[in-house]
Amino acid sequence: MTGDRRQFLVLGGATIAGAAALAACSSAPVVNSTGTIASTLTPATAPTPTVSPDDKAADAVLLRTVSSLEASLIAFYDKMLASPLVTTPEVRSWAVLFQSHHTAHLATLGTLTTAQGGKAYTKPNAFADSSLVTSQLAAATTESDLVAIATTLEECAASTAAMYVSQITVPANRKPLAAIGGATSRQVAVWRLNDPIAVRDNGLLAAFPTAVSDPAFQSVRNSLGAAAEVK
Amino acid sequence: MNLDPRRPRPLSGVVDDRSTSTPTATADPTGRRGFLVKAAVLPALAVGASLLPGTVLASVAAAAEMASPELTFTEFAVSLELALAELYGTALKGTTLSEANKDLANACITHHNAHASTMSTLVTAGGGEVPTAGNVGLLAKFTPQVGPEVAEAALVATFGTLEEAMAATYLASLDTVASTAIASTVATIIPVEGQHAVVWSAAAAGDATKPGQPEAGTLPVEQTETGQLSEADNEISAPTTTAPATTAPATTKAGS
Repeated sequence: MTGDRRQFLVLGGATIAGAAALAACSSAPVVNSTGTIASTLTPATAPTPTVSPDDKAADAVLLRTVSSLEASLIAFYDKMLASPLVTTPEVRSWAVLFQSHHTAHLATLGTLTTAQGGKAYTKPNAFADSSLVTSQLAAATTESDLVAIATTLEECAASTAAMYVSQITVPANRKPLAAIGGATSRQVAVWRLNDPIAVRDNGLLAAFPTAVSDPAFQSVRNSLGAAAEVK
Repeated sequence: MNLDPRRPRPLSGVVDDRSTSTPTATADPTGRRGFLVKAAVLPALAVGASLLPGTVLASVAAAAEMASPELTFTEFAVSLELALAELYGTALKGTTLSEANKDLANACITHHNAHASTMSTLVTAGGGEVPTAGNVGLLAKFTPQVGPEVAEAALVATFGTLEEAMAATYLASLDTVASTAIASTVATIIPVEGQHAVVWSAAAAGDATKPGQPEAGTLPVEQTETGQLSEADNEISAPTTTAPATTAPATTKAGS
């Protein structure tokens, strides 16, 4: 991993997930619900992090880490599909479909990793599993509990992919990562829409996250940090 | 139809004291996350607490690194986002949308306005001119499809098509974009446009009381470029590639 990127991963002793310190800014007019121009916001500035260009070894680490998340998801869906708690046909169908997607993602990421000179990684991410899956699975007593675990793990994967696009040093690696992350975010929306409590309370808007300040953008808050990287 | 974002335009609007603050977790009304916190360790995830999702770096460095095709794309993106917001606004003036779908349309307006604002910052940083109106070509093409007399089912289908086009367009832009600032912003917008498409599909499958299941077609293995919008010809174009890139980016596409 490059030194420049590493220095942005630790701040004040606390590990953070990404290199970009983002500031609120905008200078565009906005269109309100009646279709008229409303207002503009005042731009602000923030420092730009530096990333060493074309650091294939660093990219390989990121790709291996995302691979490990895909493997975690594949393994989790195995357990979910084997669980007697899953009784809704649609939930089962989505789990089967999404598992197949993650299997394809793992293959894609393996190819990309190899192209960066790294070794493809196919094992689950131990950090993510211990944080998001193991104890939750043991405590699950309903289908909704399993859907909640799936939602969180998928969101973690989507968040990490989005984060890593900003950290990838070989520009050609951004697009496939964004393509995978984009698809994963859609899956998060499906799981949210299959949370009956969330839908009861929020209807269609249950598809969007509530625990972030700005659901207009894929949050990177739940992306994996350095502790979870697969070197 | 003209999709060229660079048209003579006046500056407009008033300064608003609204700003995006440091993100704070809001209460989860469903209690679902409560289960996860009790069970273990969401807080143990190393998260980007200092990152403000959906906001943008604006810096001299970012401006300096933005090549002409990138600037063209960011201006194009602003015009598209404003157009989407306007199209939703037009639909909301009609009477055919259910309350649930109105709520969703309003949420999409909020999101697209936020995207426009964020991309506008990149335009400014790159020394470009921020569009102050929605993309003329897109509006000309789709305004009739969201008019006040259009049936709800048709509106919902149109919204889904538009959102898919936006997600595809942003993904395609990554062939052109070299700037980290733009690429990272695009990477946070693609997922949300995709989620919009999924939710409109769920709306189409549901009824007034609750959403249905979205069509599997809105859940591709990977986000694709199918239906991307083109600056050059304003047509919904065929995808150029859907395979992951393992080599250097392709040559710059239309819009330079």
